[in-house]
Amino acid sequence: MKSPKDIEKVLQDFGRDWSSDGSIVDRVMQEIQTAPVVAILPNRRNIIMKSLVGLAASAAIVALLWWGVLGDKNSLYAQVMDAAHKARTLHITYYGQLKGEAEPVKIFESWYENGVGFRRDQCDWRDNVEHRASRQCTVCLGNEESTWTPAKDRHNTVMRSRSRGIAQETEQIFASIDQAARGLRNNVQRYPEVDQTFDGQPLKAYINRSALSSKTTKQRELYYLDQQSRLVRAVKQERDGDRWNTTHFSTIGYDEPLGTAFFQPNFGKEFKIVDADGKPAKSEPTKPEGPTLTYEVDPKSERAGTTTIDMDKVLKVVDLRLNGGVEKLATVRKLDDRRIEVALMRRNDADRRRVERQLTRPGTLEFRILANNKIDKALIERAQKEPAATEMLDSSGKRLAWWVPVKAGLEGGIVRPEVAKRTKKVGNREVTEILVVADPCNVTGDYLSEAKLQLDPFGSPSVSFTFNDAGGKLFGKLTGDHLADDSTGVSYVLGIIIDGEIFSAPTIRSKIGSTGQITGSFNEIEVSDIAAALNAGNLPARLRLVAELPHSN
Amino acid sequence: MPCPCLSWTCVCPTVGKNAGKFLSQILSGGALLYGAFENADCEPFMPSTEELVKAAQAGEISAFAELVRRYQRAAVITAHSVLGDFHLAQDAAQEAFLHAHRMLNRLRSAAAFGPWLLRIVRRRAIRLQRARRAERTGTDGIDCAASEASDWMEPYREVAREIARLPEHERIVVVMRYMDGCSVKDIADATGRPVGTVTKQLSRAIERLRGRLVETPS
Repeated sequence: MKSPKDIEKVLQDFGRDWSSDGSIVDRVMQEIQTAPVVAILPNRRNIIMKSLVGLAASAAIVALLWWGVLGDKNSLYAQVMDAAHKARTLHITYYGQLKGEAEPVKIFESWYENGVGFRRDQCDWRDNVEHRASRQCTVCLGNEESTWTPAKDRHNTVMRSRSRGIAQETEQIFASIDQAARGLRNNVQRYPEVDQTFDGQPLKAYINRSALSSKTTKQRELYYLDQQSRLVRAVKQERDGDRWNTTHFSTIGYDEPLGTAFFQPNFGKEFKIVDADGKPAKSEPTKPEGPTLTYEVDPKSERAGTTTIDMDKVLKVVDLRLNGGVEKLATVRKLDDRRIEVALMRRNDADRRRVERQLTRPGTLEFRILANNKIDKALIERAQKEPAATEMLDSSGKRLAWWVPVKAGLEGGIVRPEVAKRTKKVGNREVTEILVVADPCNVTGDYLSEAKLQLDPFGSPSVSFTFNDAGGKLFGKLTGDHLADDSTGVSYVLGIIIDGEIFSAPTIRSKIGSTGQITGSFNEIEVSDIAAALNAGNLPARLRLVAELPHSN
Repeated sequence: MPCPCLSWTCVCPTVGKNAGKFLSQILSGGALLYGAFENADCEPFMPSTEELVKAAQAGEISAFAELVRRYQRAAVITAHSVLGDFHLAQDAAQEAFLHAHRMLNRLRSAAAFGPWLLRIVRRRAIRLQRARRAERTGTDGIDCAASEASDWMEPYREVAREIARLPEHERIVVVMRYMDGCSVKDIADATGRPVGTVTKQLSRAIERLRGRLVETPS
């Protein structure tokens, strides 16, 4: 019979054996923080930076706290939401009550223009009236080109990043309207006694029926709708004797003139705007200024029998490959069902070469085990006896091992005693090749859920990747089966093969699950381009350059 | 892994005197905002789950990180009981936290975060398990997916399964007390329950585990 002490001991051992790399906090938080955007402007000297997600969430929760319970959908609610969806611009302001404050104060204000941009201002308050002066306000801003986010731990610094488009912002805006209008789903009724005129417009008032049903009810909710059934004001009041005091309210403005200029950054001089790499933001051209290239589907790449190539897919992949990285390289459009046009944003040779490379690279990723001179001795000897062969087959024709070239310039970090290498002359260049062995796992880029640019612990750019479930399991199996064995001194080397070239070859020290980082001496542009190509996936057809104009337009 | 109780430094009891960032209640009965604390004269403080949830609902990322830190082991153990693999269990737990983060505003009672989360974890794990079965039957022949053998949790399989069978609130206190090494007082602060209740829950949970683990020799 075990004593309680024994059980406690088992539990404590369990906790102790749970090593620190078993923590998922970083993984979770990284995922969360890759969600939207933000920037911030302070009042006075303090800056508090909040993520856009935070602002949206707080908008939602604040509203949720007082509008409460979900009810059945009724037509009034549906009309209100429908009107909001039809609006070109929206302007929402929310006032809440602070402790010790008689009147509600503004908590946040946000603007949104369909297809143009968004802006949110939010002010945080201490719970103490005396500290009104130390109000801290944040601004987040985004348009179709860029979004501005606070740089972590750096005062007076705003980080600019490429906009992911404001489409996803739409959802959050409508979520806050939904929160404000939510009470309309419940039992509400017309309440003409409190009808108002607002900005010269007569408004119809509705009240939650539960507030009317009892004489002693302490709270009530009022909704004001305009002639077009748009919710323009939602109010929450508390009873104070015979009076009703407003504790919280929202106002919603529709189709106010905002315009592009409203969503441009207008930070003060004291603010430094930086890019993701921490360097001062370069001004990006807003329209193409470089050469215009026309590409055509290479007839040779069309397989017999396939009559049409999905040009929309081609366009999407091209766009992601060129513009999915840290900066916008070009605008892309479809000319007809065989040709696309790529207009470069900037006029320089480096960009021109990058476009060429992004459109011709295969965009593949593979993880393989490099042949090991202790384990794969026979195979290596055989391979060295057949210098002309590129791969070794078994009797049934299955590939056992093959040679893979090392990315030029990275040989130093990859070639080591335990792997098998050979050199080959290609033109006037010497190419080092390394033997890799077949494995049943076939971990490839097909299993990627995301690849992105990330700084490694030493601050150098690296490609960080995340596999989907299946890929994570296969990768876990591949690395788990090839762990270094200290008793025999055998250690395996993982070959990371991008576009058919070995980029990196770490020794496998631990089982790797669904995420990892590819480090090497890359520059940031290179890494960003690789990640963009991996994310974009394969081009459905090969493209060839058919025309080039030196200038856009 | 540091004890989640210790990772939150402190909160200054007198908001207002400090020039640093602050923890404050911005709305009456509403959301809390958290910040890092720069002032040294503060009391050690364990924010309750309820406060953390409210702060996270108000958009405070660090508060959610704290929740993940606090509940990750209970979550992984819960998922492990379904999936039987540590890494898959971590994946399921991770997904569940992300889902919980997205759904946080739907959580009516902030204090109920723990049990709510563990239910999400369980559902996610079951879904993952189904997908995994379907996948296996689809790719039979390649035995790449089976990785149970390398699971460090193997020796604790029994006890993990039994922890996962405890009622959610007991699961949380057991993990916090014995695996994370938190004091009963900290757990009481965190869960918002009196010390006596926590003590009672712990002894009840240990008794339950004792009864169930008795048949299986370790």
